[in-house]
Parts: sequence; C-alpha cells; structure tokens
Amino acid sequence: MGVRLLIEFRDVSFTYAGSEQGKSIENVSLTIPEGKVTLLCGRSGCGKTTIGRVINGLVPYFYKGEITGDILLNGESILNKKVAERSGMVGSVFQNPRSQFFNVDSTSELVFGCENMQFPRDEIDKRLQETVDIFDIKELEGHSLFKMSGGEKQKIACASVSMPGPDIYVLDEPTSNLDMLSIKELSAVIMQWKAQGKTIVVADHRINYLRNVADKIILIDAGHVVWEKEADEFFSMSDEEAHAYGLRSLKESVSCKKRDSDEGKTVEDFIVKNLAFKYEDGTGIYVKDLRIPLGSIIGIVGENGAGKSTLVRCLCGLQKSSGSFYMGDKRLSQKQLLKESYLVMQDVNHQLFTESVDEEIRISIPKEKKAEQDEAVNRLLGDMDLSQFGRLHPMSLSGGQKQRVAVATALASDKKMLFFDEPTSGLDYEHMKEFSERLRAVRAAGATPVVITHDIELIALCCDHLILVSDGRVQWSGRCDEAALKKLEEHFESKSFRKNKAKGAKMKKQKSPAARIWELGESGHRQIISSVILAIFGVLAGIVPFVMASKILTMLISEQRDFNAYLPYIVIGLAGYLLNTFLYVGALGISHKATFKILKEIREKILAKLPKLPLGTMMEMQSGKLKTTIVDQVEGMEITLAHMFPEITSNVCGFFAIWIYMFVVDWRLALLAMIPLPVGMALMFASMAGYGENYAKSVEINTAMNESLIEYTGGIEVIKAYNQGNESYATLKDRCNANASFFYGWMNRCKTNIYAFIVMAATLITVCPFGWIFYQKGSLSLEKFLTIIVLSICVMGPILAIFDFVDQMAKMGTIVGNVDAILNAKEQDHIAEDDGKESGNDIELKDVGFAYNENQDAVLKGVSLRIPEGSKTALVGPSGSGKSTIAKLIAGFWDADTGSISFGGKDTRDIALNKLYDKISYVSQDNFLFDDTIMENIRMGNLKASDEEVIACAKASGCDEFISKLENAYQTRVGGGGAHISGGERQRIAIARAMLKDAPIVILDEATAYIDPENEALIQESVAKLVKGKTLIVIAHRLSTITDSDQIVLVHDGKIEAVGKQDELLKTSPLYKSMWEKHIGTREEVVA
Amino acid sequence: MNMPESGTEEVLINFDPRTKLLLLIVVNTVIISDSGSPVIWWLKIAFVILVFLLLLDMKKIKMSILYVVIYALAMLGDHILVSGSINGMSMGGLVLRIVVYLIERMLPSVMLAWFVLHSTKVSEFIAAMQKMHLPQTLTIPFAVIFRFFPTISDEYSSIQDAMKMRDIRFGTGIGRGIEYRMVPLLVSVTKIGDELSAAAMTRGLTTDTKRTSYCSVGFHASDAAAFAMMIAGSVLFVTGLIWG
Repeated sequence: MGVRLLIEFRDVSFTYAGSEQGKSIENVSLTIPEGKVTLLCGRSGCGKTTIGRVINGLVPYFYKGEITGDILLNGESILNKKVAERSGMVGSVFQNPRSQFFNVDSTSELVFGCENMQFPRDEIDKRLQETVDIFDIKELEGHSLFKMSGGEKQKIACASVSMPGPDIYVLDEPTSNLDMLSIKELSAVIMQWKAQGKTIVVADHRINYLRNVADKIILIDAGHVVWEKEADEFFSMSDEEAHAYGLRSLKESVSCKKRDSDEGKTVEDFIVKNLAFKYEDGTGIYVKDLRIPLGSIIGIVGENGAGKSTLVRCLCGLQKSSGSFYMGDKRLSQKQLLKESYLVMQDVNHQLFTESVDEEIRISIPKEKKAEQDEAVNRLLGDMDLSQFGRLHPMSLSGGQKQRVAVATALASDKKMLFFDEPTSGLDYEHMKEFSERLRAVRAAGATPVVITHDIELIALCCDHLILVSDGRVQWSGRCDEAALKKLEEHFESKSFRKNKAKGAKMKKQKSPAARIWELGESGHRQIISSVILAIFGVLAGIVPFVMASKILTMLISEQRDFNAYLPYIVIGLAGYLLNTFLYVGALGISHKATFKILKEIREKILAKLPKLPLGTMMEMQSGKLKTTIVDQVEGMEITLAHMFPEITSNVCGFFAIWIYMFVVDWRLALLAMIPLPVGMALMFASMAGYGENYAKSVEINTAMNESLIEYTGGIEVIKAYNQGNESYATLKDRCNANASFFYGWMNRCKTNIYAFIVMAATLITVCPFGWIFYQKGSLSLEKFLTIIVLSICVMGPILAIFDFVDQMAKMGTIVGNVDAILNAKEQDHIAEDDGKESGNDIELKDVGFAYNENQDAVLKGVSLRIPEGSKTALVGPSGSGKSTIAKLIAGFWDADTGSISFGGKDTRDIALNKLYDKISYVSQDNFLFDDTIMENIRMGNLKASDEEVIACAKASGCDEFISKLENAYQTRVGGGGAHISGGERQRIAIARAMLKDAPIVILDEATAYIDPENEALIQESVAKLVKGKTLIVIAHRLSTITDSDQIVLVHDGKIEAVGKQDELLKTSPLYKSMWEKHIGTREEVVA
Repeated sequence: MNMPESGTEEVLINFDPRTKLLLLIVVNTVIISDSGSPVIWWLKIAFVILVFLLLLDMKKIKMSILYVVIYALAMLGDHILVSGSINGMSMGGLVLRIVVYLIERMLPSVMLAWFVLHSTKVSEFIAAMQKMHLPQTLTIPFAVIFRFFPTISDEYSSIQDAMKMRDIRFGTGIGRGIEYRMVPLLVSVTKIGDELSAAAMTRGLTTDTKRTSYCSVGFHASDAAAFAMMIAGSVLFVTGLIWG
C-alpha cells in the first residue's frame, strides 16, 4: 500500500574519471517515491548533484568514470540506458541559464526536445500550445533567450523540459541565479508538476522555498546518505540544527543576525548624482542622488532585471553613463572610477590571467610600491588564506579559491570599492558564512565591499547598508536592520503582485503608432495598399516633367532652334504632370474611403469592448473623456491616416527613384548630393534631443499657469474683499510670463530644426562645384551635369515631406494610446451563462489582492474574510485602508487580482454578472438620479414593479412625506442629476430603490456619512427596514452606528487587522480602541 | 550586448538557410573579385544595395545606413585615387588605398555574414542541413558553432572588462596580451560548451537519429527570387570576366 517507489539506487558508487578526491558517492542506496517531491540536500560537493546525474544518465555517459551498483526505474535496471534514451522519461533543469539553452529564441528551445525525440509536427504544435498555456508564457514566445531575465529563462527551461512529458524531473540547483520572486514562481511550477503526478527530484542549497512543497528530504554528506526525513519532521528543525548539517535556513523569512558593535565605521561617502543610462530599447536606469557610506558592507538587492548589474557597471566605470561621482568632496572621472573600483564577476574565470596565483597578485601591485612587492604578496596570500596555493595555476583552484585570488588582486591594487556580482549563488551555509567573513576582512583591509545579491541570508548575516533597486531606480537606501529586511520582503510581495497584473500588457506597448493603426484597421488593408501603389506610380510620373525639363535645358544650351524638336519632350513632360495629379487624387480618394472604414472599425471595437469592462472601471472613466476619445480623437486621426500611408510610402519610393536615376546618370555626383542629408539629420536630431523633457516641462508650466488662473478667478470674491488684488494678479502675471517665455525659448532652440531643413535641401551646395570640376576635367558632359542639377533640386522634396509626418505621428501616438487604453483594459472574466444553480449567500474572501492600476501599489494585500448569510458586518478603518474596495469587489465592480471571492462556495467568476448584480444592492454616499420622474427613478431597482409597489417602498424608506410635498408628487422630474432635492432626500430615494430591488445582500458604503442629524435618524430608520433579514455590509466612519454588528472588521493598510464584536475589539485591538475613543470624544464635544 | 535578433522581429524576407549559403558564395565572390569591367562594377553596386536592403529588413536601420555611407565614402576615395588627385604612392595615399581597398572588398561580405548569422535560427539551420542529407555528425557541431558566436562575444567582453579594471592592456606585450585574453576565454567557453552538451543530451540530442523539425524550412517565392538573382549575377559576372 501507500506510495509506489519509482527510482531505486542499490549500492551505487561513482568516481569521476581523473578525480583525485576519490569516490564522489559511495554505496548510496535510496528510494525516490512516485508522484512526490524529493529534496537532496547537503554541503557543497557532497554528491547530491552526482545523484541527480545518475538519474538522468549524465553519469556515467557524459561525465565518465567508474560506476558500481545498480539503479532501477520501476523495478528495471536503467544503468545501460544512454542519456538520450532516458530523455523521454527524465527531464533535467540545470543551474546555469547561460549554458542550458541550445537555441537562441524561446520557441525553438521549447520544441527542441520534442524535435530530437522525433515527435510529429502536429503533436509538437499541440503540446506547444498546452505548455504555453500551462506555464503562462505567451508573452515570452519567440523572443531571444539572451534578452530574458534569469527568472524568465528558468521558466522557459522548465517549460521546455516538460514539453515531451517526462515522468521524472531532476532539478540541479535551479534557484542559484533567481530572485525571491522567481523562486516563488519556480516553486509554483514544481507544485504543478506534482499535481500532474510527476516525480520530482531537487538538489539545491536553498531550501526554504520548498517548505510545503517537498515530501521527502534526503541528507547527503561526503557521498553517503546520512538520513531520510519526512517533510514535517524536517521543517520543524531549528535553523541551528540545519546549519549544523551545513544547510541554509529553513524559515521563509530571516532575521537580522548582525550585532551593532560589528558595524563598520563610515569614513566618507561615495556620492552618485544624476546618473542616467539608457539601454537600446529605451528603458534605462536613473539615480538622482545616492550615498554609499564607505567602510561599511553594502548590499544591492532587487529583482532579476531591475538594473542592479548595470548600475554597478556604471559605478565601476565599466559602463559610460552621464552623472557625477564624488568620493567625499573629490569628484571622480570615469577613468578614476575604474581605478578606484573592482568588480568580482560571477564567473571569476574571466579575471584570472596569469600562470600562478603569485604572479596574479604581483602584476596588480601599483608601480610605486614595487619595492615592498614580495612582502605585500605574502601578506595578501596570508590574508586570503591562499598561502599554500601561491605557486599553483589559478585555473586549477576551486571556485571559492579563485574568488579569493580575485579579491587579493583587487586589494593588491589598492582599490577602494570591491563589487561582487552574486558571489554566493550555489554556496552552502558554511561557504556562505565563510564568504561573509571574507567581506569583513575586506572591510578591515580598508576597502568597501559592495555585494549584488539575491541571497537574503547573506544580507542578514553581514550587510551594514542596503540599497534596493527596482525598475532602474534606487527605491530605497539605508541602514540594514530588521525593518529594512521587512521592507525588502514587502517590496517583493508587491512586485509579484504587480507583475501578475501587468502580464499581457507588456508586449503590446512597444509597437509604433503606425503599426498599431495598421493592425486596428484590418478591413481597410486592401484599399490602402492599392492607394499606396497608385501614389507610388503618381510620384514616378511626377519625376517625368523634371527629366524632360533637363532635356529641354540641354537642347536650349546647344542652341537648338527648331521648336518641333522640343515638342515631344514638352508633351511627355505635361503628360507626366497630368498623370501625377490624376494618380495622386485617385490615391487619396481611395485612402480616404479606407480611412473612414478603419475609423468605423476602431469605434466599433471600442463600443464592443465597453460592456466587457468591469463596472468599476466604467464608473471611473469620465463619460466626457470617453466621448472625446471615441468621437473627437478618433475623428482627429482621419487626415493623418488618410495621407500617411500613401504619402510616406510614395515619397520614400520617389526619393529612391530620383536618386537611383541620378546614380545612373553620374554616380559620383549622386553620392555627393547626399552629403547634406546626414548633416541635416544630425542637426535635426540635435534639436529634437530634448523634446521629451521640454514637453514635460511645458506641461508642468502650463499646469502651474492654469492653477493660478483658476485660483484667481475662483477666489476673486475673497481677493476683492481683502483687497489682495495686486498681489494675486502679480503671481498670475508671473506665471503667464513664465509660460510664454518658456515656449519662446523652446521655439528659439528649435531654430536648428529650421536650419536642418535648409541644409538638407541644399544639395546644390555640393553638386554645383564638384559638377563644375568634373565638367572642366571632361569627365562629365554638360547634358548630364544639367540633368543632375535639375534632379538634385527635386530629390529632397519627398524626404522633407516625410518629416512633416513625424510631428503628426507623435499626435497619433497619443490617440492610439488612449484607444488602446480602452481596448486593452482588463476585462471582467465571468462566464456569460452560469449553470443556473442557486448558490447560497455566505460570502467568503480568500487571500484577495487587488490594485486599481497596474502601476499602483496594491490596495488589498491578502484579505480573507467570511460573511455569513443574514449577518451584519461592519468594515471600519482609517481612510484609504481599503474597506470600500473590499465592498466594491464583493459587489462585482471589479474582479480580485489574486485570491478568490465566493458566494455560498461558488467562485464569483462562475456566476454570470447579471446574476451577481441581482444579489446585491449597493447604496453609496453619492447616488445618481436619472433625469426622469421620481417614480421611474425608484423603479430602477426593479423595472417590473408596479406603481403601488414603488410607493410602498417610498413610504417604507420615509420618502413619501417629502415626495408628496413636491409639486407633481411622484411625477416630479428630478433633472440634471437630481439637482433640486437635498442630499438626505436623495439618499432616501436611493434606499427606496434598493428596497424595491429586494436583493439578499445590502452594502451601505458610508451611506449616512454626510447627512445632518435630523436626516440621519430618518435614514437610520429606513435602513433598518431595508436590511431586515438580509446580509448587511456597512462601511462606516461613525463607529457608534455599528456597535451592534455581528462582526466588526478592522481594515488597515490593505490587510485585515482584527475581526470581532465591539467589546472584543475594544479589548484586543489597540487601533480600534483608539479609533473608538476619538469617535466618542468628538461626539461628546458635539453634544456638549 | 551583441545578440542575435532572430525570431524577435517581424521580417519580410525569410530565406531558407540554403539560399543564404548561395548568397554568401555568389556575393562574396563578386565583391572580392578585382576586375575593371563595368558590368562587374554595376553588379557590385547591386549586391551592396542588396545587402543594405537585407539589413534594413532586419530593422537595423542605423547600422545599414552607416554601412552604405561608409561604402559610398570608400567609393569616392577610390575615385579620387584613380583620378590622380592624390599621389597613390605618398604616405597618405598608401593609407587611403589600404583603407579603401579593405572597405570595398570586405565590408559587404562582413555585413552579409552578420545578416546570415543573425537571421538564422539554430533549428532552421539543422533542418536545412538535414534536407541536404548531410550527416548529423557534421550538422550538430556546426549548429553548436552558431550558438556559440553570441556566447563568445559575451565572454570576450567580460574579459575585456576584467582587463580594464586590472589596468592590463597590450602594454605588457602582444604575446602576453593575447595569452591573457585567450586563456580565460578558452576556459569559460569550454566550461559552457561542456554544460551545453550535457543539457542538450538530456534533451535527447544524439547524432545517430534524425530529428523532426518544428520550423518550416523550404523554398518560397523570396528564395526563388534570390536564386534567380544569384544566377543572373553569376552569368553577368562570368560575362564580365570574359569580355571585360
């Protein structure tokens, strides 16, 4: 019974060929259960990797050596099976993402295994689709693996390995290069495999991510199995016990182990100001002001791809960047940076050049100190524990020893700052600890060690100062203490959350507006293409008159007097001109038609999208803005769109056509004529360089002016009454002046732009003198010279015409952005038709996370809550704590980003939206009244209700009284948002509406917040009637109104702080107590 | 970083690897040839433009323009030398001659090689070689070499960085300089090669079985056009050689 054993090692021993250390594993007998996760752990070099290799066959078929014993799979020996034969059964993931990919792009890599195993194409296709879905890597498909972050690479590795569907997965130190976030994702992948019934073997130093994942743990030491433990027993070990076995921490979070006394002494600061660096794709890093205290141990952390490595390369002076660097007061140039700092790379092999360790250190010692060279070498060898290796070749040392040599060389050359790139990846506990000691030694030697790392344990062990890098910015920098570590954890949590939200949107952004419009206007493609073709012919025809003109000119100069000789050229030229006009008009006609079609399609797409948007998003989008986008902005695209495609393409073709013709006539002059083009372009780019910043600045200045204008006009009463006219007017005047002078200055700076145009058009500057020389020397005929002159006059026209579109393209970009913001907005993911089964109304939130915007922080972070049917639940908490958001998520305005919300055990996503809305009445503080009669406004709650029912509800909610006083009673129109009734009355109408709807769940979102005491009593009364026998969720600031709740939920900072009844909370929660006391206090004041 | 772009961008032209091979042979032969024939001169210009268009198709706009501009300057330089405005035997003239010669003979070939390398996926290459019935023992090492170019350039730039930080330049002698670069490069490349082979083996790559291919390799219209162009080019080239 129980678990089947899949893999069995019987007395396996193995010695690597040529190894001097003897057997790598010796008499290992162990079993690996099927469908479970087995973790192999132990010190570095204990043999766990070898055991993994025995399973996938790399030992002994790739790594040769002597193997004894037997390994069985399902009871059969597989020792004779080669690696490739086992590849269908065993999938392997390795530690180094650089060297486990055979291909350059991800799709090839995904299908690689299946191709090798001769799967038919259809099957590969099917599996590819499935795998992409399961691993959620749609956006990584087809991209270069060399450009992915470590986490993404490892994800592709896992996905590729699982494509052929092996039963066993062997992972060899898969987390070595991963950040906290990616490690979490990896553990999710392992869980997925486990759920599919696969058997997983992980050999790793990091262990804590496998808590709740691993089932069986096997400790290996010096090639022997020490013990096997079940997960419960293993993970209940204390960290001290684990460390004793050479294992890393088992806990999910670590605490700061550093003692204060041990902290370094800051001599001076290394200061970085306004460092900026841009990658090719436009993203980059920017550091405004960073201080690194020299003499401390510095840690640089951040997710994979955050820009840590680039930042460090800039700090070392390896990467050119703009910015200024100071050591204390002394400013450092890039060269000096390079002199003061040293980077110990992840692959130390790159930086050891010579034949012996001794020599390696010797060549690093600066010339001035050559005298005490020997002494210095010996001292450093001793310091770095390398004395016995002095004569050895650096490459023959182990990884850790090489690292020490690199550190010694850096110290030898008196470097002030030593950067380490991921120095502890793949180190066991002892080696990591040893490394931290080494960092202290470096600090003691007077240099400042800076470590880029994902290893939180290392940070906790020895860092004095921490720098958190995220998205190319320094997010935080400060002393490394308990609070800092906590901050790190929170950062990664919110990062993981945002990542989930941003998924999918990521790849779409990079398209140019033209490409995006092309995509949007699918139906117009054929017409646009035909208009483009027409336009090209048109431009070609347009060249004809110029060519003819040059012919005529030549004839004039050769004093041809017979008019008949000119006639054919004149006619052809004229024909060309007419054809050009005709084709151009035709092309524009077609493209305009196509444009209207495209615009129609874009509008239709937007309209089709709107109903799918979450209710909350719709409410947030101001209807004005929506209208502007759909109607005005889309309309604004028309002219650009209709002209852009045909004109740009035909102008490009025209330019090349003329130029090639020139080239054929005389290639030397054709080349010379092009000289002004790059010059003009350079000028143009120079004037465009600051465009983005200037634009941002202009917006800022404009806003400032508008603000003071509004202040001035809005506050005119006060200004006049207190006679502040002059002063206020002065501010306004200043800001108007600032605005004007900014734009004036900007335009002034843009003058180069105009020069650019002039220069570009000045082809004659080069053509005329050189042409003259060639003509004089006889290598150019007069006829050709004249032709070239005429052609060079018209060659630049098309290019200049293209530049006109550049500006318009920028405008299009904004519009397309707005359109895409709607089209790509997240849809609510509910099934359209549910199974009709009635679910209960017990509401349950499990681990709900939510942010309003992918760029914002999470509003809710893991909220879990139960609201039983028929109970009264109050959500309380400081403003902005997220209580309203909880209510809105329950009401289905949005879907939760993470976690789930269920009604009676049924996930809301499985409930059709209209059913969900039926369940809930939502009354907020600000209720919309339609421009209709009161009767109809109340009837909105239930369109089938009769007049009598409406009136009954109105009576019950205390509306009847004021309604009957109105001129037309129930038939009174409450126009324009219901402007002529008071807030309290409006509230009561809303309550009547909710009452009529008779939904089983009622949510009151601060429904009584801003009502005067008289109305409040009335409303309280009507609310009481409304909620009888229903599930009630109240959000309230006035705590006195909710003391009778079945449960009070205290929300604080997106999390649930406490749940309980009034008296319980007063006892248990200090926050609630203080809120209550404040509330009572203000009430007493009011009463008094 | 200098990394292949293959598969990441939408390109218009997608040649079969065999077509690219033909392109390499014909274009290089013509470009490197030294003949005063006007036919061949025009052929060269046509090929220079062809390479430019191929680069443009890879969306390497800056690079392609730079390439054409440099080539055009070399052409002008050549012209100046031929016209005799600068004495070809003077010091400046000699330097100019060498530079012009190198650019005219090498640059288009180098750019074409870059294009081939960066537009071919490893798996496409293997598939095409398989279609040509080349043995796997030959194909796979070639495929590995393909995969290795970006790795080598990556490793090399790391080593270069390391030298900068140690302030070691060619100052220590050319022999030393080469040794200092080659030893670490060889060490890390062998290491990566080893790991890569191990990974590929566990993914079922062997030399004795045929693979299926997911990417479609085959001749399309663009290949036919390229072939026609190359054949026409070859014919013109031969005519040019014979009749001048």
